[in-house]
Amino acid sequence: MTAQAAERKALAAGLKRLNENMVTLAELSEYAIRRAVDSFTRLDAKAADEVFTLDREIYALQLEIERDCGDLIALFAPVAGDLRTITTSLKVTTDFDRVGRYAKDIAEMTLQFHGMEGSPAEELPGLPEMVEKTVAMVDRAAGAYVKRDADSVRDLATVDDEVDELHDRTFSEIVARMASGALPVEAGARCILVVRYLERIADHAVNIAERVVYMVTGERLPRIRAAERAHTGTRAGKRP
Amino acid sequence: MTAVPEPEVGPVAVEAPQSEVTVQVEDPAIESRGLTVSYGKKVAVREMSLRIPRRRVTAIIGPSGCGKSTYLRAINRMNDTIPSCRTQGELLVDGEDVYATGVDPVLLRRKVGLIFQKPNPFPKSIHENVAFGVKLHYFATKEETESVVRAALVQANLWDEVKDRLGDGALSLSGGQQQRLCIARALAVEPDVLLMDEPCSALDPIATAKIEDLIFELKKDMTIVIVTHNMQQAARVADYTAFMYLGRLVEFNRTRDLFEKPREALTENYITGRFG
Amino acid sequence: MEWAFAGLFGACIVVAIAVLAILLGSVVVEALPYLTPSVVLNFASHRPETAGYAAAIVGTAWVVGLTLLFSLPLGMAAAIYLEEYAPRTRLTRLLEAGVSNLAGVPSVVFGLLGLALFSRLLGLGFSILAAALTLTVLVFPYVVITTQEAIRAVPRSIREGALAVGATKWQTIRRQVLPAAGPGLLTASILAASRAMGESAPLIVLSSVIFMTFLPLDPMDPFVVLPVQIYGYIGLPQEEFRGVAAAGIVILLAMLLSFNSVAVLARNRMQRRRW
Repeated sequence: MTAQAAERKALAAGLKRLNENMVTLAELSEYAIRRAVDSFTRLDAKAADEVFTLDREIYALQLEIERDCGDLIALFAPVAGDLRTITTSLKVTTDFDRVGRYAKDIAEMTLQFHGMEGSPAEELPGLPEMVEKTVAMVDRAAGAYVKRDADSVRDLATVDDEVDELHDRTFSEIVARMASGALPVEAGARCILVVRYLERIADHAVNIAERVVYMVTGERLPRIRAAERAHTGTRAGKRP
Repeated sequence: MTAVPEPEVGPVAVEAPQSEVTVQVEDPAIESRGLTVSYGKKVAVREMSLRIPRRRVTAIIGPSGCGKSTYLRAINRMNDTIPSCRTQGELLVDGEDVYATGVDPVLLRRKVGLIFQKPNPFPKSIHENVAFGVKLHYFATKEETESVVRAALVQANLWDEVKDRLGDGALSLSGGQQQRLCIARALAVEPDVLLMDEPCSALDPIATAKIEDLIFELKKDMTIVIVTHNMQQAARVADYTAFMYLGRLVEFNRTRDLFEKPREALTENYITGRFG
Repeated sequence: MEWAFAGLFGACIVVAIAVLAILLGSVVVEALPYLTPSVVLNFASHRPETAGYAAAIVGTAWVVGLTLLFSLPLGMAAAIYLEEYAPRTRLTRLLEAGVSNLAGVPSVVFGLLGLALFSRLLGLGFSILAAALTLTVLVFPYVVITTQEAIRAVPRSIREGALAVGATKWQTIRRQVLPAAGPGLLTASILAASRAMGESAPLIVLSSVIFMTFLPLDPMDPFVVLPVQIYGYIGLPQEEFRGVAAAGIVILLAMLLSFNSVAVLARNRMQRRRW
């Protein structure tokens, strides 16, 4: 085998390992969200503990991926698609890590409500829908990364708009209930935080999707505010 | 989530596609239109149409035997020295076809210099090497010649190393110094274009770095076209890059764009090392 | 086993050198009594005590000198043409083959050719000029071949370097290729001179006088060269002439050796100066 073929083979092996790690990272993040919301809905402290562990695992894995990317760059001076894959992976690990942190923060909330009867989550009918949408977004973004499919996630910003809208509605509802006294202020404040975290997770999913489009096509999508998007009637990311 | 298929490792069988030129070059220093160069029955360069920007560094990359050296040497008509070589099409330097009848290749080569892969100083003194071109074309006094030699050596970043021993033999210099001497020799006749055929492939990394620095300085004054096997070198040194395969131009773009997101699969496969 | 072969080859060299040494030795021994200034300064004579080689020495100098004068430029120009300018066609190859074949022709044939062409047809008679022209033809292929080799040995990269800076073909040849081939060209000269000095058969054909008693001062003068003079002395009946002949051989060898040494020294100096 020539030196060049050997180098190519080593790089390919490195990229494969990177890919596998990224898949694991995505899976861990998704699981963490679900578990976190679960623990909050049922005020399950054990589930919360699981999430804390997951968060640590996510952090450790993300560090390893970072180191591997550094090695690949130093050893192989990659270009074109390989380079985009590696730089994307570097940035996307940050997003997944943040997702893990937010999941942890949600789980923390569980502990705050510990000892109370009835979870405040029951007060929030909009919550399950928001959770589903958010998790679906993360799933789609991660799936796009793995399958290297840019087209499937070009419109993720629009779904994020829906999540944002849900967030706004839930926010207003909580405020209303706090004002009317149906919901204690502290509990209400915490609920607001949880809903906020979910919205942020959705934002990170959009980040990941944008990065995947870059990784596959080299295109950098523009950032368009929802209001502008609605106004001009274009869906962000659609090819002109 | 499903697993991604294993990235390709082995050679890729390809047919050379249409040229993808994605950047417009105004006022090119060199332009080839449908240039075809063949040795006997073997066609080395096919219908190559390319515009090379003025006072920038353009790199030509491609696997061995893709015709990049032939194309380079066609620019200053060095292929004329090979008897079986035939050239068709147009090649314009500063707007004039150098293959038109009546064009003197000797004058062309004064304007368009060529640096070879292996340093080839003459077996004479350092001074005589650099002065050779000057003495060929001009009637210069001893002082004028000396000052031209000095200027060329300064421009080639070699003056400080040899100023005390201009009478020493050129072959007593190290490989990197010899190559810079060859560059000084070419610079002494004040070319507009400098062609470089893998100038660093016979040199160690430090000598290579010195020549790359030199290229960076020289491009302020002249157009540089460099053929290289080394992808990282093209990425470091060149403003524009052309990728050739089997005698054809496959893609031409700004270096950063070509290396970050090549448009042709063939280009991507080559620069990521899947073949070549 | 290795040693056996090394020993065998060593023995061959020793034998060859030994034979040469013996040959030379016997000649020198025989020449010793006759190596006096008079043998160099005297003219030929039928008396061994006063026989000398004055005329022959001068004659050799004349003939070799003129031969070099004619053959070197001619041969080198031909070599430059064949190597640098001639297209790679069948005709060129034919020319080159012709030149090599010329080198294999027996030297006496050149003598007969010279007699017919230069002496008779061109009316030059038995003169130094006729001899020099004949030897020119004889020596010509050697000069061509050696010069061609020397030119070929100059790396292509030097030519390309000169052309790339805007030299014409002739400028490249004159300023880079020929100087770089310098030592080789000198070798060609040495070879030509050595051959010319040692030729006897064609010069026997072309000389009218063997025992000259005056110095040739004009290219049209008759002449005698050392090998022929030596041959002449050997033909004489007296026993002592063998010694005189031996002395002549020594003189000839001395001339050859000194000329070669000067040329080799010059070549070495040239090579050392080539950085």
